[in-house]
Amino acid sequence: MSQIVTMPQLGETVTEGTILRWLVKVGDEVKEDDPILEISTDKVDTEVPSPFNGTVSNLLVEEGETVEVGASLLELDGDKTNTNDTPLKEEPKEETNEENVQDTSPKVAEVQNHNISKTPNEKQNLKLSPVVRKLASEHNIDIEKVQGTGKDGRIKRQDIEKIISSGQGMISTEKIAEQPPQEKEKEMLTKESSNNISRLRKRIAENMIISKQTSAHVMTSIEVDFENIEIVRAKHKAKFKEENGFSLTYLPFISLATVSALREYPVVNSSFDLENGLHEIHNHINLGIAVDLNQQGLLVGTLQEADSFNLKGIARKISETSKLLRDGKYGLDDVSGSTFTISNNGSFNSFLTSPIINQPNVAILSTESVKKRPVVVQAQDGSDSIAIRHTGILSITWDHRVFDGSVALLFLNFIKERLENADWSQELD
Amino acid sequence: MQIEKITRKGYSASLSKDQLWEIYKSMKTQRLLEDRLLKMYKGGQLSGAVYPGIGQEASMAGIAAGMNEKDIFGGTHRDLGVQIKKGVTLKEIALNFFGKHDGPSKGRDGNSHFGVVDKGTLMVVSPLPDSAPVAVGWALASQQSGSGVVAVANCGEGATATGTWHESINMAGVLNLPVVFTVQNNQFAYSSPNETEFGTPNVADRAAGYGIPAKIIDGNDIYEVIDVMHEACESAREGNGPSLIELVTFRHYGHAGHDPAEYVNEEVRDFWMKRDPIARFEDSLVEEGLFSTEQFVSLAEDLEAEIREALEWAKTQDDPDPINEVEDMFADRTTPTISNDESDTKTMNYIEAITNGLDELMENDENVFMMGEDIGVFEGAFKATKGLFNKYGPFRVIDTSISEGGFTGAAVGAALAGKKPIVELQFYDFVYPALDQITTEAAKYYWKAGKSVPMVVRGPTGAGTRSGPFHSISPESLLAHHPGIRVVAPSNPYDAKGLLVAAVNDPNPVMYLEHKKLYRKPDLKMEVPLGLYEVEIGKGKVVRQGTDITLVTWSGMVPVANEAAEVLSKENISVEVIDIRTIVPLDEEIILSSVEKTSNLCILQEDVPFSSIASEISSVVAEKGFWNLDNPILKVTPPNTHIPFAPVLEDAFIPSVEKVVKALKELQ
Repeated sequence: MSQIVTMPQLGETVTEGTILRWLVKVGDEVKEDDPILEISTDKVDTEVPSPFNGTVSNLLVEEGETVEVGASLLELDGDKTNTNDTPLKEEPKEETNEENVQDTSPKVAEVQNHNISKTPNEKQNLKLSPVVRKLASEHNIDIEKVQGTGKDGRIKRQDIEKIISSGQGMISTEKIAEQPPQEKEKEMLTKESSNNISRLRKRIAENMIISKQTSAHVMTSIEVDFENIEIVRAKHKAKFKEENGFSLTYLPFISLATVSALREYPVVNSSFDLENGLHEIHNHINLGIAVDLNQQGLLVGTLQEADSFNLKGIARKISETSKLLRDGKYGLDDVSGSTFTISNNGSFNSFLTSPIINQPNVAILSTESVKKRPVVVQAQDGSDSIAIRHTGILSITWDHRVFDGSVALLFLNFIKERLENADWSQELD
Repeated sequence: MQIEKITRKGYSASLSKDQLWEIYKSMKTQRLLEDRLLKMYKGGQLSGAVYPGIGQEASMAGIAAGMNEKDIFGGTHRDLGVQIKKGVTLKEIALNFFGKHDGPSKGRDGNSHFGVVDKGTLMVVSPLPDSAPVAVGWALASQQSGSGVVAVANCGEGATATGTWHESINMAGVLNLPVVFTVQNNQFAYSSPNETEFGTPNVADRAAGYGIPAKIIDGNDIYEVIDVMHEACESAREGNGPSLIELVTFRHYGHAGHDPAEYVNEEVRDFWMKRDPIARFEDSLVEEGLFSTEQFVSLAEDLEAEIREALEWAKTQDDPDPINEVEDMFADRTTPTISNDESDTKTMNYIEAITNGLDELMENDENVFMMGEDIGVFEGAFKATKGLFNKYGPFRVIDTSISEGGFTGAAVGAALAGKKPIVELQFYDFVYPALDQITTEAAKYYWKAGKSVPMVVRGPTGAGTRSGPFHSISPESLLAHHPGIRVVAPSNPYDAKGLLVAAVNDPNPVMYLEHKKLYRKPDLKMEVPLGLYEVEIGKGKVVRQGTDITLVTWSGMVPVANEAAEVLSKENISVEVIDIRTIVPLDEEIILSSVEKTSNLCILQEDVPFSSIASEISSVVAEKGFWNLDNPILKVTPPNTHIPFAPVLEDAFIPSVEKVVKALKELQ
């Protein structure tokens, strides 16, 4: 019994994937969960495990091809003990042989029955002309019982008329068999459009354009005094590095302040679907952090449930996620489901940035470089003097379709207030 | 400003005070009307265009005043003055400008693009001077019938550079027809001065090339225009043939309302303003003591009011109804179908049946006449007019110059004048120079001017005679694409005569396509009834019954289809052959009912496939007979190329019996 492994849907928005590498060849025996190929999708590059035991009888796509979700990838001559004659997906649960139950994770490849060898009913593959359809319909002819005498066994008008005049065959009340879908899978396989653009770059490019076409981008910014944080940071820097193995940057502070701000202004932590009239305010905060892949691309790592972290926790999580992404060892959870994103441009010494929103978020925060700058400060006696303090800009690009400038600035000011006035030393002591 | 004086000398000296007032009034009407129209146009009150002839009033009114009432005028968009003097009313003009249902062109053409044939003005079209050959044709009819009607073919100097004008004036000269060619030389063809339009110093200089007399006159001197026009018309009426009058004049405005005419220099303008035709006429009338300035002012006030009233009235009239558009493409036949018991017959081949039909048609109706190259003494390149010149003489079997556009246009004019002209194209490949007249004039006359044009254009079509790309076309789709003309293509002697008789009796232009390979095809001889009979236009015929495949064809491919059907019958494939006989209107019913029976359709044609009749039939059946089809519709046609000469190439081009058999076997 032949079975087909199809392109899995790895994430809700994924519609296609590229076959990176076959890990099996025709004739190989594979066992359930054995990795059989590597694919790349919008979200992730991953190995696809075999959903069942069998012998590889046919590889249906070539390496480098991009195919739609659900397209046939590989044909296995199945092991009787481990497969079923009908598609697993459609099988009522109570009738399913326990042994045949596959990993029910929705991210695993679907299995479907596929008639590779000719079925007894070859007529299903024949084209029926308009007049044959009309006559068969008018006279309730069971088309499967009609012997075609035309070219290649085609059913001609005369064949139908013969049945009508004989009075036989008029038993079917079923509809005329629908023409089976053409072998379109093959044709629909589209080649990579250019070898010069990497898959990741293509994905980024598409996402950026889609975002620009979707949201009404507006950028605004605010100046933040980081002097208090700098004092805390200077005090704990060395010890922190020693204990944790990575540096304490400004980003965890900003992230934590941002999480607080998102809780205060939930509309910034939302998704907006104008077409369907849906505005979803997320009740969890999954913080996206844009991670530069050593100038070879950009991925947004996701800190799931970011509001459950304290400063150390979030610093560690940011560091870990960044490393996973740079090393290409991340899973789907590490790169999907963000509800708000921070782009840490300050690490590249930026002054001011206007980032593009990471869909389906409605805003993105850009951190800018923190530097020592002359600032007018007021002493307690009310006199002004110029002081040298660590300051930096925070900018936000928000979707003006969803909320207005007042919200964006209240949100930023909330972050600023937290950064400047929170008792950060408590977090680290 | 000093006015150049004019004085009455010739025919104008004999005009009464009332006649002069009428002429003056028509000139003043034109000026005030066009002035008002220009203002409306510039004020956004009028769609389309205005082509003012202000400044040329003496030329227009003088041309009309020199003509008799029954004389016919073929002019341009800038001849409202002639139309007014010929009796076209302000209301008729206003209706046309607003595209109203009751206007002369029923809303189908706008502004000054109309004629009122019953008042002696031919339909105005945009390609100029396309009404010149039509006027020549009317003169031809006049010459034949002795009606004494003179035709005036008028245009601006720019249009005299066209082949159409040359062919017209040449034909009129050769045939000594009662035509007066007037050219209002207003100095500019749109923006182009005389130097860019012709190489002779004057337009009139060219008359020598046509062997006719010519005069150059002051087109702004109403008396001189009347005198010379009258003299030319009367000379033509007396049988002295055509003449050419160049009226030198000047238009005060640009080509049209949108054209500021910045290409005219001030010196030229000043020269002509001193010769304003209305000012000169008024000056002379006052000097003669016939009328006073107060009378001119009073008339102008009355006319201004009348013009405003007509325009306001026209705005409120009914718009045309789109529902009538398709119906109005063809005139209905009002004469009964000719009956014949067909008891008396004679064995004829295809061309003999055509010759017999022409002979009987001419014998039966003296309005039927023929025109074409070498059809008289020589009896035609294929001898289709054998014996006819001797029997009917040079006025009814007319040898023409090589002027397909000219004599096809002349057929339009003759048909309008009540004749039933039959044009022979020596080869149908030469229809191209005639297409302008067929499509611009013949096809549109009934639709746009309400006058039917009963004319036939016949000639040999088709390949197979080793005659190469210019003597072999099958022009059916080329012709059929144009609304307003019928196209027939008989395949055998009986149909050839019957369709010819029906074509001549049809009130519309009919393109009659003969196939030269059928002319003397030995096995195509058959009994053809003597005496007139008709094969109905628009009716196909099942020429071979069958049950498995419908094979639709016509003309020279019918014998090929029959032979293929015979071959397939030996293999138990039953082919029904339909000869549609008429391309326009297409007998859809006979095709659809046959497909209902056979469920298979193949169309066989000798014309090239792209955008062709086979494509059209295929489309009709796909739309209306889809649910009866058991196979895709097939076309058997030549490749989409020109027709080659080399026998091996030509034989490969023309669909053969073998190709048809092979194609039909696919329908299993």
